[in-house]
Amino acid sequence: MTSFDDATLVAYVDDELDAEAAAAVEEAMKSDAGLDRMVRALRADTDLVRAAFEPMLHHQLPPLRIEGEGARTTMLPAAQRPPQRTSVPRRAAWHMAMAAGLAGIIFGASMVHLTAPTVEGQPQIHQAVKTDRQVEMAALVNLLENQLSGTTADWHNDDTGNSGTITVVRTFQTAQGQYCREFTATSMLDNVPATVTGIACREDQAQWRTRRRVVES
Amino acid sequence: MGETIDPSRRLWDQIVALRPRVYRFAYVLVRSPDEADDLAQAALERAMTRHEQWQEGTRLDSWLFKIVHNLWLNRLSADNVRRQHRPALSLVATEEDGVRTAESRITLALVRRLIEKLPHDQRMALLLIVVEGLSYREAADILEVSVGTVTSRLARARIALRAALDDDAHQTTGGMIAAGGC
Repeated sequence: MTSFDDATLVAYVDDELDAEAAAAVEEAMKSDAGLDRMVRALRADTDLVRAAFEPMLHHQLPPLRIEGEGARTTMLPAAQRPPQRTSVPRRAAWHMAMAAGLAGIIFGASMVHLTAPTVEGQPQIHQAVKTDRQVEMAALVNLLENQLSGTTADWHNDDTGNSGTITVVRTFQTAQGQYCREFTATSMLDNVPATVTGIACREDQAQWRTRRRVVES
Repeated sequence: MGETIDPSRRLWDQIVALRPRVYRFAYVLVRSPDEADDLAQAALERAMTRHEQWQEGTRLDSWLFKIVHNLWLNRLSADNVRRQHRPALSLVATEEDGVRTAESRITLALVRRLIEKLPHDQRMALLLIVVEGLSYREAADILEVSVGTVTSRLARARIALRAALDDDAHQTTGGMIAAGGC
């Protein structure tokens, strides 16, 4: 009489054995009532285990904080937000802007193509003296490309002594299917504080285009 | 342009449709509803911003589970304390069970208790393979262990479950399936 170890029997029930090994189990089952019973019981257990986990599929979940613009619901705030957001008017404004189509709301000279670093987490390397803008954009692209909403990154330009902070606020999708992310950037440039919020949309392969920048102060 | 549906848009719809299962996987992983939702949403977001990394022809659910698991590992290493304060898993039943017969309700309650008592690693293997229907290979990739490890974790889980259910049913038949074979 052939006997099989637990792992083999379980693998048989889960359809993980190759044809030859499965045939050996089936052959043995014909003459071994206990083995046959065990296989049937394991198969029945599959249904029981599925039923046991099933209720979790019906947990009430909060609304998604990421949304496609095609959905008719309003965009919802991320769990981790930067403090002091006046979310209601802002959200409405964003929503209208999105509905109008992004192309119509480009502000100022902010149509900048940003290229992500090819290696994750590795900033772009410039041999010449870096401008604050370059350092900030490198930090921004890294953040947009690699970090989840709610993440904050600091940048510091050793060449000028200036620094700043950028936070990715949320992610959404336009009606055209493009992925965009809202960000807030604060900086201290030569002792002058500035706060900027903007949207960056991902073109293909790690290229981001800022679509809107609003200077708050 | 307005009427054409962007392919990535369609992918996003598919991703959103998988949210309950992504949440369930996260819940069994972290055992807290809030944390599980946060983890699941973070995974959906990551999937969306990196949708080009998903390879067409491979299972989307498997890819999402992998993202959840990676995010969880990152969070664990960022916060080692969490590991020690993991609450017990509770597979709460809902009214949905009400339509079943009393007998099967009792069996289901027993199955839930047994699953809750399983070691974490065995439970994850059970969830991915038996419940989600992934292959041993796919489950091993998600959990970052070998196929052999997943195979033995799953076998231990299923055999323990079987033995306990057998005991419960007072079925003392046979001894054909001696552990480890002979």
